[in-house]
Amino acid sequence: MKHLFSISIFLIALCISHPTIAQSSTFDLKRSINLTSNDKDDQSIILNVIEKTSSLGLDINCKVLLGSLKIEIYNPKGEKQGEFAVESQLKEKLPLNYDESQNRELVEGKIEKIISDPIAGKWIIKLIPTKTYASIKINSRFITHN
Amino acid sequence: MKLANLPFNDRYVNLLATFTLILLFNSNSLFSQNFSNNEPKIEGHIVLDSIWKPKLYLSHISDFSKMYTMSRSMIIAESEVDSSGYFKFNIDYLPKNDNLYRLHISKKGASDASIIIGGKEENHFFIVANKASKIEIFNNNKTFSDVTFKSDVKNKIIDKVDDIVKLIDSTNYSATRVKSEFVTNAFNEQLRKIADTCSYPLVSLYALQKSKYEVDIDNNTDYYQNFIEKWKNEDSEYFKTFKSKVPKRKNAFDSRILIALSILLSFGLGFFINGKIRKRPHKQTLALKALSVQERKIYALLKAGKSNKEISDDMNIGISTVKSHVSSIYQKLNVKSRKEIINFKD
Repeated sequence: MKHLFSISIFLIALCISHPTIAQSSTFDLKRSINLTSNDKDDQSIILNVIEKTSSLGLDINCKVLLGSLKIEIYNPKGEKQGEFAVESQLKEKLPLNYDESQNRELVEGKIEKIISDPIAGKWIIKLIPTKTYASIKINSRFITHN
Repeated sequence: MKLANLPFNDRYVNLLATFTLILLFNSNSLFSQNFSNNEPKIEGHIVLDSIWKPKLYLSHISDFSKMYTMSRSMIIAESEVDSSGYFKFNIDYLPKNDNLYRLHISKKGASDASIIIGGKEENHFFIVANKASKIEIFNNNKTFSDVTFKSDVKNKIIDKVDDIVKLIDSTNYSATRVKSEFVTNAFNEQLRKIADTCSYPLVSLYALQKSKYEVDIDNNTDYYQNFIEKWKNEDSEYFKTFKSKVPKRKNAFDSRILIALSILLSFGLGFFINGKIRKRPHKQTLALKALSVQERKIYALLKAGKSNKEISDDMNIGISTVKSHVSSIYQKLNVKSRKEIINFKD
């Protein structure tokens, strides 16, 4: 009888805890973008956040060698959630003898954000280049509960 | 001459002179040390992980919109960090007014001009300084952005503001949306209070900037207008940008002009109406104009107090005709007796 009671308690606990353990999933989305001075228009990277997303992680990394680049993050309501800009001193074109390995003119920017209980909808990462030569890496992590 | 060979008094004088010289030398050293301590500078000790280069960079932030902009052109100075973690910037060339600056470090292998926003590796923090500032900084727990200011009051407030912002961010990381909104609103209110009570204009504006005032202006316009009124003499770029974003108050001067204009207009209108009324023919004058030529002549004789007989004689008309005219005059002038005619105003 005592064993039966313990087993029942164990089974009930298992049933209760099972959904919270098993019904949560994570998926990562990675994007790499290279911009050249020919890319003059703003670009928008759209991240679709579904209702059941409990956390959205954003890690945006960019390196600019020429011109400037501004990065803005907007939630589905159009409210700015973060921004940064990186500007190179080289405004027009790279010098002919420029040695990229020396990183002398390279400018780097990075933003890390974790948004708990994000608003469902289209989150936008806006890239605003000005005569830029840049590489951008966007890592996004979605944690959802089913 | 040896000291031992001197008489006692001379020896005493010599010893005294030597002691005085030593004392003077020491006091001079002490003085120069104090002078050195009083020079304007940003210095301190920081403890860093091995992933970071032992070098600090000082950037000038000319506008709040540039707080999270990284450019080599913004870097105005750099300082090596020695093995004990000590660094120092001489700042006697800075503007005499407070400006915003950013201190940052960069990772080994990364560009010197790099900014990391958020996370444990956040590589920068902001300070307010001028050419006379003496700022001492220490970091905590090997986290570069988690710093303490030793004595500088302005930057202690900046640090307090940054701590509140970190609390907001950490809530956003972990809490539900609703709780996060409540907490953010409460902390932003706290930042506005700091801005309201702070006696340093740029520090005060820094607190407002961190409260994300732009989304609050419409709901709280009066607060921001009062803030501008408080710092009306501030004309730095920081304040110019801020002032341009807050709708202007219809100030007391405007309302006084409005009241004065209204009074003038009322007077003008009064004069105009009065003039019109004056120009309007009098009621009695109008009545007189209704009399015929013959009746006006008889009216004049009636005014002169003449009888019907005298009028008849003067005008060479019959008495009955006079009576008929007099009756008509009475009717047109709305009078009932000759006495009223005599008193009738032309």
